[in-house]
Amino acid sequence: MNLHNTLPFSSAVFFYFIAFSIALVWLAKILFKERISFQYLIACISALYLLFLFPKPIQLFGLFVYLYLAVLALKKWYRSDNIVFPMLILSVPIFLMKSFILFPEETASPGTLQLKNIIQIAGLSYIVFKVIGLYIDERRNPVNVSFLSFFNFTAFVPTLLIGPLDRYKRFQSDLQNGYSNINLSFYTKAWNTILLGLLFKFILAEAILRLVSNHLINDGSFLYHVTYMYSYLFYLFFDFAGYSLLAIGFGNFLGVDVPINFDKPFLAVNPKEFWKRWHKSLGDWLGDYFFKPIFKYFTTKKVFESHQRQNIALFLTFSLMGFWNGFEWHYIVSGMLFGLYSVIHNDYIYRCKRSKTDVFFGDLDPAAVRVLSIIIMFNSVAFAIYIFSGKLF
Amino acid sequence: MNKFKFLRNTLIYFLLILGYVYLYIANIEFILHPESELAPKSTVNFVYQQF
Repeated sequence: MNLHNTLPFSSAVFFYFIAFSIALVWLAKILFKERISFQYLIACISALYLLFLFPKPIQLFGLFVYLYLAVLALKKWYRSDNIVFPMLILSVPIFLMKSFILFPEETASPGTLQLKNIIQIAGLSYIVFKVIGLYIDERRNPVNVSFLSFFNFTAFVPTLLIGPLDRYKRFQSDLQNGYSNINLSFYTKAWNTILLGLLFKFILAEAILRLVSNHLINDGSFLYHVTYMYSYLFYLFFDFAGYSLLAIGFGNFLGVDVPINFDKPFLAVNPKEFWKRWHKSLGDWLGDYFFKPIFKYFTTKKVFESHQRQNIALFLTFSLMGFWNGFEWHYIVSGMLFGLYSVIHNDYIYRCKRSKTDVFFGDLDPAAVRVLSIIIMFNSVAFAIYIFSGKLF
Repeated sequence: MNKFKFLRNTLIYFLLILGYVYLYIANIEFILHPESELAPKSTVNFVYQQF
């Protein structure tokens, strides 16, 4: 068995490792009476995982060192208010990776492929996004970031691969609380979260995949595409929300209150609310570190009217999300479609405020408006996710 | 534990056991679609992880 290929949650070995880590933390609290520093213990767990189980540990350590030195250098020498340059510097590993994706394997030279293989690291974009957040927050409220706390934040095993995207300050406060979160009530919460995660990921997502999606016959009919659209939407939701719940539950067992990522997204009444409920940590990240700076930039330059600035910033933010998912057309168009939904909703709010009446629903009963909004939003999301799936093009 | 939490947890345990038995032991997919080859059990497929 090749242990050096154990991505988080991908095999039984990972779950054994997590069980071992939980036991280690618990023993450190009970037997050693909390004499071992909690921060060092979490760092040791991450280092053990990366050294013995994670594929390409050297590359990952290289990435951590690059990002840490880049943050230090930017803190020391970069004084401008413009955050585009630091974001570009911190995103260099992503651009490198993306540039290699542009070279198809059949046309690339062996050297290019070798370099691509070296640079390709699982979880790269999440790590970079976390560090960009850390850097921007640190500019606003300067704190001393040691390599130990930086490593703990970026390499925390349960959230290493695909989030939820945590914030440095929040994460650090959990670590500084030490063993206080290692208690029965936190463990109960963790256990319930993991059970729900197992149900979502290994039962519901699996059932949709094996009983519905795998047996759809593509006859090109409208019915086929509609069935595929809804089955894929629910599969994606249960798969990703299930994974997120597992990450949160295991994070809780290790004493970290990992933020939630999904909160009944299909009950959202508009795009803004949807992104507070679906992949919430990414939605918040994009809002804080991309939408707000763009909007601020337009406001400072006094270009466009206020709601137009919002529209442009919204569209650019969601387009970025599309590019982040991948350079393929279906990701880009799906991101732009989510951007378009947000622009339409923003414009609707603006017109309602201006005319002091609901320009779409009129005098309809608020309960009926809510139900209709949920239905419209759900189907709009289903269509955007259908585009995202790559089934159409 | 309040009544709601108890019912919620009971439902989760019930669905987990039922799902495990049907999907992983009885292999309901093969029973419902005997013509299809036994699909390999999906490994964790991170749909959102692009790289």
